[in-house]
Amino acid sequence: MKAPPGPARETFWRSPLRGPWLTTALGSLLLPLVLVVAATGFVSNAAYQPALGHNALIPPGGPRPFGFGWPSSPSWLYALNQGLHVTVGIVAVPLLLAKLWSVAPRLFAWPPLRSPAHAIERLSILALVGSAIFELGTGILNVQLYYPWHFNFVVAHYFGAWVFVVALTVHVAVKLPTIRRAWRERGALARLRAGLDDTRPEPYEPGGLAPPRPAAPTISRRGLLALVGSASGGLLIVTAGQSIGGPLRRLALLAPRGQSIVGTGPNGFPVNKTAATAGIGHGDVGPAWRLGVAGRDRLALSREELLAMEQHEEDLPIACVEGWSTTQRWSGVRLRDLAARAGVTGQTVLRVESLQARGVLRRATLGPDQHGDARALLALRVNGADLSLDHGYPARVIVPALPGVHCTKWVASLTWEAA
Amino acid sequence: MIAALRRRYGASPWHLIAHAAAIAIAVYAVSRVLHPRYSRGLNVVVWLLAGAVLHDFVFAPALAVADRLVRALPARFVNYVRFPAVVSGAMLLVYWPLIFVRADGNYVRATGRHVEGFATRWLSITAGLFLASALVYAARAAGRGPAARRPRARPAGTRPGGPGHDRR
Repeated sequence: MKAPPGPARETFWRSPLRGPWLTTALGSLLLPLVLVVAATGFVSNAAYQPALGHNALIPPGGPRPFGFGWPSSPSWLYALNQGLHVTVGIVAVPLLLAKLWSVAPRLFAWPPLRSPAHAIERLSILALVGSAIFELGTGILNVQLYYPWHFNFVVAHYFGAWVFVVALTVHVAVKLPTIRRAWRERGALARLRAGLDDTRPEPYEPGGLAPPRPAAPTISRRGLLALVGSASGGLLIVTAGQSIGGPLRRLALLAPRGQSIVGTGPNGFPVNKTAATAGIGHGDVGPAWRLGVAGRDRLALSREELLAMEQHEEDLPIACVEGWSTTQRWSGVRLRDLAARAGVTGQTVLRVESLQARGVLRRATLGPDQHGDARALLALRVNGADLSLDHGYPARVIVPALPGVHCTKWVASLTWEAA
Repeated sequence: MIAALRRRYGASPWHLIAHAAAIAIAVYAVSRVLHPRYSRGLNVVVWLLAGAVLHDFVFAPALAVADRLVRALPARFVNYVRFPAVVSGAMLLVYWPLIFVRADGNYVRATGRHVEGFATRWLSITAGLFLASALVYAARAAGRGPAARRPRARPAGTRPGGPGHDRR
């Protein structure tokens, strides 16, 4: 049966750039990026240490293929992980769109289903494209705090990644012979040397990507790659500064925690939740505030008593799951000193509770590597000044390489429990 | 028997096993989200499919139409419009919720500040990109001189453009 007029006919598609070489080149550039985004996503889930306390945000049950202990060194590990996850994901958007453009004729291929194998392959491609757009889309909206959907972002983003990873694995396995053939027959770099005047269409094969009636080119293949690279590079420039910090934050013109959030003074760095949102007022943290400390012994320490203990100063990053991070100079009491004062011995986990009355992240459980690290502090001051209320006054936890939301603010109690 | 399967199915048994396994895992993963505690109805399934459908039947055709409009310009301008438009468009595609202030309430609750200045910054970047592109064009045109601005010979092996649907 002849294809109906329109995109189902191969003659509809005229771009002389389309063909196995271009699709292979775009796919080979896109693949490492999405692998970084997927891997850092699963690593982030492990960094929350879901096996401890109430840390798990993903419903328990079913396999947890990426659960492992989370280290506390280097201190910038989580900042790097999330900076890569968010920035590389954003940078991959133009490449994904270009890749999809390069294979557009196959979407309308006629007949739509040639065989059961073709049907199941198209189903898996739908899962691949759907989950790729879903993962990038929900992630990008989440970092802008925009939630126009009716599902739990963390749970859906996590399991959407499963769909993406299995669909991608099968896709790469199926296409491996095509990819190898494209590189072998057409050369990896020969096409890049051709300027506009030397840009030739690839040979037409029925059912392939190259068009049977190519139009004259208006851009070379390397020009198209430069166009896509410019779009990715532009996004990199307006985004990366929110993770790298320092003067580059001012260059992050469109990132949610970039230029817009640059502040002044010792407490002039971003927060992820204000005291007002957490329902904490000055009355909750006045002179009557006591830190509950429970190990073998139970103590109630005032802020003055905490300040009278040995103070330590550490430069540590606050790194948000949403990709931004900022390194500040914190000072306060070592968590291990507080453990010693409460008579804690043996292998323990530390349960930290906030004054905040509601919300999943009002409490966190830290493993022995986290609360035992010599740099892990109950911070009382930052950059030589008292913590501001938004930054967790009277006291907050700061632990190297720990996700920012587990560095609990407005701490009410610390409880060491047998691991 | 394998040969018969291959003939009727259209590919090797490994193809079938791999795809069946992938689809089974995908269905399991989606079913985990469908718990009423984590999603309302089939909203998450709609979102999983809507991105692909909107891309294929709305976004990509719209982009093709936009590129056709750009190609209607004199050929020497085309790529000097494409570059700033694509770079600026990618920023709009990613950051439209901030540019159009879609979630100021959440932003205030998280950061203590209002969403401010994103639209101005995006417009400034866009204006800067088009200006830079125009300057590069002018510099190259001046460098080439009037002789080089004549239309170039059409490369061999291509047909004249004509009203092509898709001629990037």
